[in-house]
Amino acid sequence: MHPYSLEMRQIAAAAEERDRPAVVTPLAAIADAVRGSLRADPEEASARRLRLLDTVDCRLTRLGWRLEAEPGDDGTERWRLVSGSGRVRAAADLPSPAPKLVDDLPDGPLYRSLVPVVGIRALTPGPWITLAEHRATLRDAEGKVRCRLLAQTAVVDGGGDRCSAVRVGRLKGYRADAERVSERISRHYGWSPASPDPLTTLAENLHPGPEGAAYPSVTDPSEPAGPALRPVLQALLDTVEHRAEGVIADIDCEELHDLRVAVRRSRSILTLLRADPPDPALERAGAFFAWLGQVTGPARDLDVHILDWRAHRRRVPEHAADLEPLGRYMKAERDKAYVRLVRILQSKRFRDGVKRWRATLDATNAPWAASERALQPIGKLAGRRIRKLYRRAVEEGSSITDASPDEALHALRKTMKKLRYVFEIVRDAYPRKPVRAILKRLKELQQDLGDVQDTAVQADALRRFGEAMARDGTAGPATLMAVGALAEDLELRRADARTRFATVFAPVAKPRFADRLRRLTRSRTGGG
Amino acid sequence: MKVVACYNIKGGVGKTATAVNLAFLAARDGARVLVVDLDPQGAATFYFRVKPKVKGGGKGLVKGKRDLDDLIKATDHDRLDLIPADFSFRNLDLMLDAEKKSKKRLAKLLKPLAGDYDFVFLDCPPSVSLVSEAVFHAADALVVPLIPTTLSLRTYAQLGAFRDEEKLADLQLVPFFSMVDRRKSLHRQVVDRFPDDHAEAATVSIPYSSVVERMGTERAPIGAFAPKSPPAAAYESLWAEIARRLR
Ligand SMILES: Nc1ncnc2c1ncn2[C@@H]1O[C@H](COP(=O)(O)OP(=O)(O)OP(=O)(O)O)[C@@H](O)[C@H]1O
Ligand SMILES: [Mg+2]
Repeated sequence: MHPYSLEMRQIAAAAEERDRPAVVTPLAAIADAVRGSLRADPEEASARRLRLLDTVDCRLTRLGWRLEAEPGDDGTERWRLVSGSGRVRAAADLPSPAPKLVDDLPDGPLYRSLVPVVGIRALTPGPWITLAEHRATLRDAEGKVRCRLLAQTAVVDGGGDRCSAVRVGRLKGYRADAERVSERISRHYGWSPASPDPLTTLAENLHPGPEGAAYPSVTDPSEPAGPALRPVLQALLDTVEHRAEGVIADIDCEELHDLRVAVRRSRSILTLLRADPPDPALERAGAFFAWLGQVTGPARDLDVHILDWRAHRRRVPEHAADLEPLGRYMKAERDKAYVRLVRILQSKRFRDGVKRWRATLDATNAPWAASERALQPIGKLAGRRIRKLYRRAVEEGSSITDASPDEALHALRKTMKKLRYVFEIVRDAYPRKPVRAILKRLKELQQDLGDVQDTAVQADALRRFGEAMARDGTAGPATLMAVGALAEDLELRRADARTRFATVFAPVAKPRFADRLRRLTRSRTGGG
Repeated sequence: MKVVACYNIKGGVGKTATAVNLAFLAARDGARVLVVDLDPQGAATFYFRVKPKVKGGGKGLVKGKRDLDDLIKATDHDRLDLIPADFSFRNLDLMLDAEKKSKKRLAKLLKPLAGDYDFVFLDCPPSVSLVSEAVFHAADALVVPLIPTTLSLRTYAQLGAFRDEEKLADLQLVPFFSMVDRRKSLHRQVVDRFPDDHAEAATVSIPYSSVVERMGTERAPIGAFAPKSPPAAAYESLWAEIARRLR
């Protein structure tokens, strides 16, 4: 029963020109064309209104899936997740307006299909679409259905995109009929077979995917650092600007996260380019990004707390109800932090900072791009910095024992982050295989260091929240106990992460690893 | 995949009507369903408007020479497929006899379809024969339409004995009354008393109704042309009960 499709766009376009409904005529004509041995039932027409949902980075569409939301009666909406083959993977009736975050969907097939793909991103609906369908049924002399025809036209509201297709439904045991019908249609109308269904095509047009590659990387190690890094810095600044808009629109917590990553990457490149004497434009940009990193911190911390709270709520459903007040409290705090953050992102200071940095980057023959550093081959410059940061990391890590304070691990984490960022700027200039092997080790170590610090920070925050809630009386004893249990859970995870440290650090500190890194960062770059 | 056989030694009791209507309801509820028309008369095939013709005949089917899949025809209803009858199915008995382990042959034949279908409905010809033995071995449940007469009760008792002889303890028997006319006192008596010593009896009866006869002119299951009629409702309750028991 795999539908056999026929491209109908030319026909649809022609019909549009004559200002007639796009599909009706062709379908009637198709029925006519095969009328020889089969007879057609009167055509049935129907129309539905729906919207397609996706994340801002189009995760569903990129996978070939689409998520339809159709208003039901009594204030619900019906969501259907359809895969590339047209199969409905899952469906659910949700109260309207439906939640933005998958995590707030009721547990079930829809939640389980969406969560690995969408993660923590919000689902946002696109424009309204009208899907008009015409069906014709072809029967034999016995009145038995031999073949079904479906013509679909999807139109985006407000004179937007329009897309049509005709499908010939192939019934088991009657393939020959479907093929004969398809063949006749092709012969009569010259349509080429096989087209995706119109909603899929519209979904692709509406959700084309993220704008550009997320983080551009240098590919030619011999290029001077200034010109090589300029487009990277420009792309990072674009990201900062775009994500700031996303934060202001309150799309989801990934916007702020991406903004902060772009800020940190920019900073690490600025450090790389730092000349002696320092260039005033770069210093100014450095100060701007340092400020931006700092002012975006509190909102991000709350986002992380909430993410963790959500994960915990799923893990320990018996505490879910008791943890609600904590969630409300954190949500209120987060909203306050976002109000402050949005004000900052709309401030003159932010806008001016972006504008001046953009002007600096766009200027031809700016002094910063002609400094002694900026004229060095990027591969050499980055390689030297990578090796230096690596030596520092090994030094810091080797002195860590079970008795060391967490601060020692935090310091190492910072060094590791810097190392990662520089490494990723030039990773495409290196052979892929060793890069992957090195990154894998670095990521494991970083993950562990992150766990140590984040769980500690979160446990601290939880205690503060608990005290604050106890003071304003927003939480009863059951909630305070659940919060305590949550903090304890975090402590356990922190302790776990600390025990793991030695195991994940050892491979990075091995001479073999050091050797590999040295060879890689010196290869084809002229050494350092 | 569950195999439901509509079976009675007696003819004209509503086996085919039951198989066709229950299969339709199962498919309507979202299950993938196959009806196998084992009766050379081809009544089920006729109801689905399919031409009763199997290339090569019953011989091929039983020997499993051809991929069973090639015989399957989509009906006009979503998720509901059919293996049509063929006149050479008359020879089925003879061929089954000639096969080794013929009793298990039908069960073996259906096995490869397990991934494709949730339910298989067997519409059986009336008789005690090797075909019915094969059906017994293939089925998870034997749905037995009974006309409320003393004679039909006796044939049901024989059926129970036959099952025990074949040592098919897992085979569920689901007897129910069909063509019930509650104006007749005999019908009322038999229907009301039967459950006293037959705990397995379905609680639903199918009333005598001209709507069932109209299946012959409409050539469709009742649910497709008279979904709100009393027999349609009765078949729905019956299917709900059987589906629950098969779970
Ligand atoms: N509930 C009913 N009310 C009225 N007529 C019915 C009812 N059920 C079946 N019939 C009719 O009785 C006849 C026999 O029914 P059906 O073909 O379903 O029985 P069967 O057991 O399959 O017969 P056979 O043994 O010949 O295969 C058919 O004409 C059918 O339309
Ligand atoms: Mg019959």
